[in-house]
Amino acid sequence: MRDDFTITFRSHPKLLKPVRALVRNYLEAAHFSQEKIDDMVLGLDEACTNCIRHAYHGMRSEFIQLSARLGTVWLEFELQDCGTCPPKDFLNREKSKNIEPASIKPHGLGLIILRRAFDEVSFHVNEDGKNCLILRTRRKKRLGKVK
Amino acid sequence: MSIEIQTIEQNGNYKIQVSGQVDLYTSPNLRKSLLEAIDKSKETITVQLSHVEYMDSSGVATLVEGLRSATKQKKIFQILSPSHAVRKVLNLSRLETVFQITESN
Repeated sequence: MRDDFTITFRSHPKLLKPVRALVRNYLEAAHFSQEKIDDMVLGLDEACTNCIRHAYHGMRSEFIQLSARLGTVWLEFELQDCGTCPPKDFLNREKSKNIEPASIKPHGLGLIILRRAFDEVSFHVNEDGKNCLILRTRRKKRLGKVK
Repeated sequence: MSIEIQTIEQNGNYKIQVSGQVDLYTSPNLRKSLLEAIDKSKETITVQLSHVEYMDSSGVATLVEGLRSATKQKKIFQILSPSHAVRKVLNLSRLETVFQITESN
């Protein structure tokens, strides 16, 4: 799958809004439902927010790279940063936790949203040592073979 | 700035009207207004979110912090007329039942 687009932007929170607008336009052109677009824009925003807050510790002059690929079955976003590598189990930390009012914490909600917005979320460090978050959504159901 | 926050005092209680986009960039402004209003309010803090076009987990975290602060001070914290975007993020973060949500007539 070839990239439909790749952008690099600074890790400044004010740039989240134009990035959201770009992603929304892209998803609308790909004819996803409005509900699914809202979910994915929110999920991607959470991923970028995590880069800024946790990988770059709020530093605003680092770089984040976002790529998008649309295949026949899957839509895939890839987010790369050169910041602090997260703990190995960070994607699974809140996975099975039920949120009760008494135990709500103002932080950690982003990962919950991220996982619910996409069908598959995975993380690896690439050969250049960059953190890579892969966010995938199934574009449409597989059709059975026509005989 | 893509957020507008208006604080209205009504008989010692406070209503905060928010419009625009609430994200990592703008949520510190909401947090400041919210916590100030909670401290000053006699009994009730109402946050009107009908004109919020977008909210992410930073916004939700701000609301959670407001709820906790109000509860600690034995005050009522309520959300008024959340927009579709707000309901969406509350639902995705599984917090839709945590807040006292009312709709305007």
